[in-house]
Amino acid sequence: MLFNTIDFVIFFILVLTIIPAIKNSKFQHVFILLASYFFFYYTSNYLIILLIFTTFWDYYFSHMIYKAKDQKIRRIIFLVSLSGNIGLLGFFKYADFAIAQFNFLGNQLDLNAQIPMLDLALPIGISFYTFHSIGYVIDVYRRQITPSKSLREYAIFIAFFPLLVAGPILRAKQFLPQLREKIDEKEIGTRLRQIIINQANLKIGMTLIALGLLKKMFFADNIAPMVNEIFAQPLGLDSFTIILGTIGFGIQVYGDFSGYSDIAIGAALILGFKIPANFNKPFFATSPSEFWRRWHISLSSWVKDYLFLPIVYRKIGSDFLLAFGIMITFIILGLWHGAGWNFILFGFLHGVYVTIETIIRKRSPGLANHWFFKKRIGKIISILSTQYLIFLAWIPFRVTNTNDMFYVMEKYIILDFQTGNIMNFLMSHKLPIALIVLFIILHLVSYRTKNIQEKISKLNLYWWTTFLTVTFLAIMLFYNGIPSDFIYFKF
Amino acid sequence: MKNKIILSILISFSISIFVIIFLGLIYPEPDSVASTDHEFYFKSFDPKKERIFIFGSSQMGQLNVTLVNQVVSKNYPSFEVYNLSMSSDEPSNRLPHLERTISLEPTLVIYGITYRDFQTCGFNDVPCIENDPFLLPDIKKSIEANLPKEIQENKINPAFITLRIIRDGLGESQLFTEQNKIRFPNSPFYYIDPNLHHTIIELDEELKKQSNVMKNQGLIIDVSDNGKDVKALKTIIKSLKENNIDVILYIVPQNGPYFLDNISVENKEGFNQMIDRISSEFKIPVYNFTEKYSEEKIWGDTRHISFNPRSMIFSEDFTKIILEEIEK
Repeated sequence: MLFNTIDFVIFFILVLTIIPAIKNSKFQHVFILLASYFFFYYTSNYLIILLIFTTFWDYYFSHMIYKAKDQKIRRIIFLVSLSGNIGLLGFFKYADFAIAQFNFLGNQLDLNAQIPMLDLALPIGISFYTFHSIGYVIDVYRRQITPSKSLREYAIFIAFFPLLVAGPILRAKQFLPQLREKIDEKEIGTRLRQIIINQANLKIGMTLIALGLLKKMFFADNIAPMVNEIFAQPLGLDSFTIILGTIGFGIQVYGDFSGYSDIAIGAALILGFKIPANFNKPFFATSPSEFWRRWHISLSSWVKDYLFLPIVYRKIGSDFLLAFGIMITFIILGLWHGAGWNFILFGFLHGVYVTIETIIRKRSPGLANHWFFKKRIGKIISILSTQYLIFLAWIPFRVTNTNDMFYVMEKYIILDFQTGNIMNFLMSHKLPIALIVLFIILHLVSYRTKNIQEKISKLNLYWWTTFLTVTFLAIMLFYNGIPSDFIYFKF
Repeated sequence: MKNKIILSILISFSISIFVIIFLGLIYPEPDSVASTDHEFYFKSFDPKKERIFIFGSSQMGQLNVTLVNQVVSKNYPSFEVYNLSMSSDEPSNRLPHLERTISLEPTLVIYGITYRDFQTCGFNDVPCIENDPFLLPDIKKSIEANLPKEIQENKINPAFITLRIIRDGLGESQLFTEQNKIRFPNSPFYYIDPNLHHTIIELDEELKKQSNVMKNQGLIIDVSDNGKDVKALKTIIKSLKENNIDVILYIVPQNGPYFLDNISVENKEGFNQMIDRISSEFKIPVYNFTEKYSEEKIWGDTRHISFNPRSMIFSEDFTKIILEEIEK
């Protein structure tokens, strides 16, 4: 179910109406679980079996890991659990990609046999709920958390509908305590928490939902046609058009995904669940590593904790191992986004950026404190040069055809402007260009105004209603009648 | 306080909906291109000019008729070309408007036909095979089937109205060009819609997805002499010939791997035999372009050649046919 459809609006209103009417907290939790399953079943139908399988698989394996006394047995059970998750993800998401590579190699070696493609439907959200589940099992294995005693509780963690199909990727230690009653500030009890919709959460949550819809439906969806037009046939286009398309795509993907995250976090907050922010003004990052601390924070912190740190564990002093760890992490991060060489290249480019930055920082620890980087101009140059590299990496993310991709990258790097075309292009794409400019202005405003969502939600009721009306109007007036998918649904 | 917040949300939502409905009422979308009572039939044509009409469905609508007309008029200034193609057209749909079209006294009619014109079920229509990809009941589909027709057909497009208001309000048509629909003067019943992939050349990956959907739906065509569209086609050709209007059958180009490969041998043979029968019965020439561009990268989707500078070969070759026929 897409957040930007009337189906979701009706579904969410029903959930919010029924929850307060249920007085028993146990039934409330059962209702949340059933609503989440309905949300998933509505568009994914029988693929819900995979979600339920993942839930049972990791719930029982995590208990076995926890109870096992022998370290070897613990490790074996842990590896079985992990291989189940990775196997499921790999089979549904990467099987055809792997077959295509085998077939290509076979052709190179003059082998006539071709493995037929499986053409499997990619289960929506599989990358997200599998990562939820893997993170939980690793935490249990590391003894950082005790496994959940209730299957229902664990099932809600995996299937909680606001986060189910496109994250943010949640940690069990962040979410599970929120299902239970707080005894005091430090301790969480075992009793289930009564879900209460309170006014503060309702106001901030609704503000987040409105801003999320604005990012997605007003900005991303209206910039998308220009981006699609440019990248459908980029060969022959000049650098100006290519750069504009790349900037447009960067904004589109940000509006799309951070918009989705805002709606998810807002919906969860209305239900009383606090989910950490997934984006923090990534276009103001002053270095590639900082970009990943601001972009898709839940994924980047997940790969850091569960992938990067175990690779470089205790060997952080070695430059080679550090570079190797970063590159592997980013290539897997790229591959997480989709089964294709273009996503591997996306990850590879980011890996190269972060590796170079990390090694420079390691060898010249004083550089970050250099007077130049402390000055305003130094910061602006850092932001612009970082964003230049980040937007370059968006190209393989968007353009899948190899010839087109290298052409676009060449035009992005080696500038070649055709003045006559620029004016024609600008004149025929005024709306998306106006939206790009408006987005940049609003992004600057939000950068200068800290916690803008909170400030908006603290407005008095009159101004808050005005904000909502203007936002809804902007969304609806520029809505073309066809709800478009969120880009990250594919992942 | 919570109730006041809920009231605020409802008020802002209601105001937005009200504004959209209000604008929709005062700025109705001029979307209808139905041929009935269309201004085209009341247009005063230059009596010195000979008119060439193109019939067919959206696949023919994708022709760049402006280019075709320019080239033909340049070579033969007394001729002008109009593309009377309509979305989802079939011979039986065109038949009721035939008298009106004949009254405009065209010299030549080029009728573009293909498998879809004779389908009884299949592609993008009623599926021949109830091939539900879902194993369990599809709740979404059941709900959608009960929605009002306007919502089902996605006819609500506030963005289109907004852009029109901005354009009209600013009084400068160039400030916000109409992105949604592109209309051409010599193509009165068809528009190019960039949102419907009419203008881009689609990637193989996407064409493959569309092709799989089509494969699952199947196709049955009725090309027997008793079939309603075959009968209608014959009636149209007969009436045109009786009014001394020359007719050419143009078999519309199709994509090879993503369309023609989904058509059964029986359907292909039946279709070709029907064309041969009609051609010999009425003694009309046939230009079979079915496989002409089947491997070219010029497709907007599996059935439509994109309206795009890189797909010019479609319009250029079509122009050559007209020039050839005029020369005869």
